[in-house]
Amino acid sequence: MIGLDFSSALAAWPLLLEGAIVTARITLTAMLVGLVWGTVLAVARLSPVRPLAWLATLYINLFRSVPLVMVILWFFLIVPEVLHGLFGRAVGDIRLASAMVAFALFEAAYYAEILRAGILSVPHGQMEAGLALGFTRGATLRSIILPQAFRNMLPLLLTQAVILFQDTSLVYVIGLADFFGMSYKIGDRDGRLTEMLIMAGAVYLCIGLLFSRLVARLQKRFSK
Amino acid sequence: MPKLLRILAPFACLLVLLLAPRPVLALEGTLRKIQESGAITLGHRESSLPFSYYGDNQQVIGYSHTLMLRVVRAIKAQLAMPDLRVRLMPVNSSNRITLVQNGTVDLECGSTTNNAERRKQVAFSNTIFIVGTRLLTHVSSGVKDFPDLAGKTVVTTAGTTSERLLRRMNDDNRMSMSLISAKDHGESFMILTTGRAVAFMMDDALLFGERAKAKNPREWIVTGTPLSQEAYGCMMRKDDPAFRALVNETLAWLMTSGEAERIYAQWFTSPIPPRGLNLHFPISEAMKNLFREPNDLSFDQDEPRQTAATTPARPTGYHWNWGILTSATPSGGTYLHWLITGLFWTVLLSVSAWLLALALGIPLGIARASTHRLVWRNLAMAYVELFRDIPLLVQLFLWYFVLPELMPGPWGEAIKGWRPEAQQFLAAWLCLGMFTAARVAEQVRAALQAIPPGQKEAALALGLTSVQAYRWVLLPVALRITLPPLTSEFLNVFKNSSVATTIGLLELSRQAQQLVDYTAQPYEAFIAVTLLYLLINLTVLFGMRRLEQGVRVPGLALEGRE
Repeated sequence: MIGLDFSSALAAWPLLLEGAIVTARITLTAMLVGLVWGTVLAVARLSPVRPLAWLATLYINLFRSVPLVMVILWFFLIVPEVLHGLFGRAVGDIRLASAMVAFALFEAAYYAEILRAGILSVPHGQMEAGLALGFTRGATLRSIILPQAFRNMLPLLLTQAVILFQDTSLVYVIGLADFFGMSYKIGDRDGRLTEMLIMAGAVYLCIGLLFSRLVARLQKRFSK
Repeated sequence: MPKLLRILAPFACLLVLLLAPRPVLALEGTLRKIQESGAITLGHRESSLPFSYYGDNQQVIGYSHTLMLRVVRAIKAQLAMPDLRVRLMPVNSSNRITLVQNGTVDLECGSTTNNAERRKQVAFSNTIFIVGTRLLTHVSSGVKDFPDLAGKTVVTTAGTTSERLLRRMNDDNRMSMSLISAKDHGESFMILTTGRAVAFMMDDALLFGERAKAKNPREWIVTGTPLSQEAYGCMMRKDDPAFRALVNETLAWLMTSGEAERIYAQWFTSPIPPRGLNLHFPISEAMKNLFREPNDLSFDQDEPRQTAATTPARPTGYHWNWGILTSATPSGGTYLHWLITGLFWTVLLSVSAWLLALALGIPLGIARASTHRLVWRNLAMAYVELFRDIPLLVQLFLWYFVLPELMPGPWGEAIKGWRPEAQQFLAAWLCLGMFTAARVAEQVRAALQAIPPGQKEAALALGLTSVQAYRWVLLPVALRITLPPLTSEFLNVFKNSSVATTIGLLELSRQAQQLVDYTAQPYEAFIAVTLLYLLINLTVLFGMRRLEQGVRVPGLALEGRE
């Protein structure tokens, strides 16, 4: 094919920025909510209360066995209808909201598994020591076990965040214009799809490289 | 005279609305929802030129969109809510009906054909446009009419009436066409212009619209005797007579007052954004008649026309109907058959991509772990970084859309001449295989680095060459200890294969969406497909656990598994 023309990428930068903001919003929400909810799930999965542990295991395994594309579609097409039956009509454009919920709940299952490994990596003696010192189970978990678990798992948690950042491009399936979706639309509109796809790939690559370098550095510092 | 009309039109509109009886208290359905929420959500298309599409700056414009905004003006007047918030929601051919049904979208004016099948799911307004389904093709393609398509590849947009007509024609006349169903009209047109299909079947007005987007519109012609006539209407929820009456009154007034004809001229016979092209699509007799006598007649009168009074109220609650899976599809076979086809593609794609990933990933992993050959190590590292840091979806689009364009001319053309499934499969296979190879390489590297260096040294000391040392000593151990992490990568391949839905491969998750579109039984479709994914997952897990137990190396493991 003849020369590539990247001018429409330059001309459309405000739209691309708008898309990038959507990407950032989904990534950050899913990271924060996923981390909190994932911690709860990990603790629940390791809890001595059997039904609680089973429920958490079920949740984690379910979300980890279903493709993200399906989860996004579930939360866009099916879940609102169920909620509509329960609580009345959903109003307005639910794409961003449904994507945020889908990603947060989905990532939580992955964070939960990382954190569970992190909790297990802390020697059991620490919990016993905490209990012996008169801390409650919750307090020991909160102030002794979890901080160490997070520290041990920081590189893995960050790697997962990079994966999450890349996965946000899948909101394409519900027509939400994140950075990638916007690039695609602009390319489609201007007949410059080839150029826009290459541009999008290059941007993701740069960000991905930057972050994996960062993670690698952290990993080195922590393993010392 | 027309100028006078234009000046008087808003006043006349206002007068009509002021004089019209307004039952303020008895608001129901959509109007009540709009009043209570203070907002209305409009469904629009993204690339249905010139009906509803993005102009410059991502602003929604178009013929249908203009009519819809006029209706909104009437709603504001009727509810006495001048500050009514208007939310815009892009929809596509595959999700528009679901979104209207589930209450996300209140009104959709785009390019939706009013037909009996859809009237079971949603209500239609008065017809806003009449089109014929025809073909867009390159002037030199030699295609003049539908019979010329036999044995060729034809593209159409998923979820449209054209798609159904084309499928039926293909089956009934044994034309052995290859059909591609693209996500949107823009994508269909791109598949046509990049030479992946010889013709694009769609409603003629849309074809003229797509043609205007081409780099050189003169190269493309709209041809063929219309296979069917289609009446476009605005969609809204069923059983909402008050809302429907308001929409219909407004549309009728626009048409009989001459305003609609002016809007028509603005979009079909004048230059339009984004590139100032003129579609040159003169108003047809059918459209003139419609404007004279507005109506909601569709062109498939096999069922009595829907009238607000006689439709039974839709009972609330969902009707479970698992029998839908064994009922017949419009193109023969049952929906269960669709699911099995989806399962077949998912498994075929995943397993073959996995083999590619192993074939590439193991050598890459060895190169990554090598301590001497720096060039190889750096090349392997570059590969891993490249394929790990670009989202899978972006990679897939690069393989599918960009690669054939960048390849030397004849090669790219050769690929585009393949059957559509073959092209989609090739792109998805390469994408998934090479993406996974990067991850396999990392696992193999980690395993090799976990083996004590003494082993390699001992092997070399015994007189084995480096290759022999890897072949007989290092790799057998490395692969065995890397099996558990590889299992989860294998599971990831199955899950990631769902991304192929975006380029139209009919794998499981695509079938879920198609089932929703055809049956309007979303719960059954999604539950069935999700269960199939779980089944795949369990099968793989079970098989791999057996394998792991068989080959475990005592005392050596990468990750502790309970």
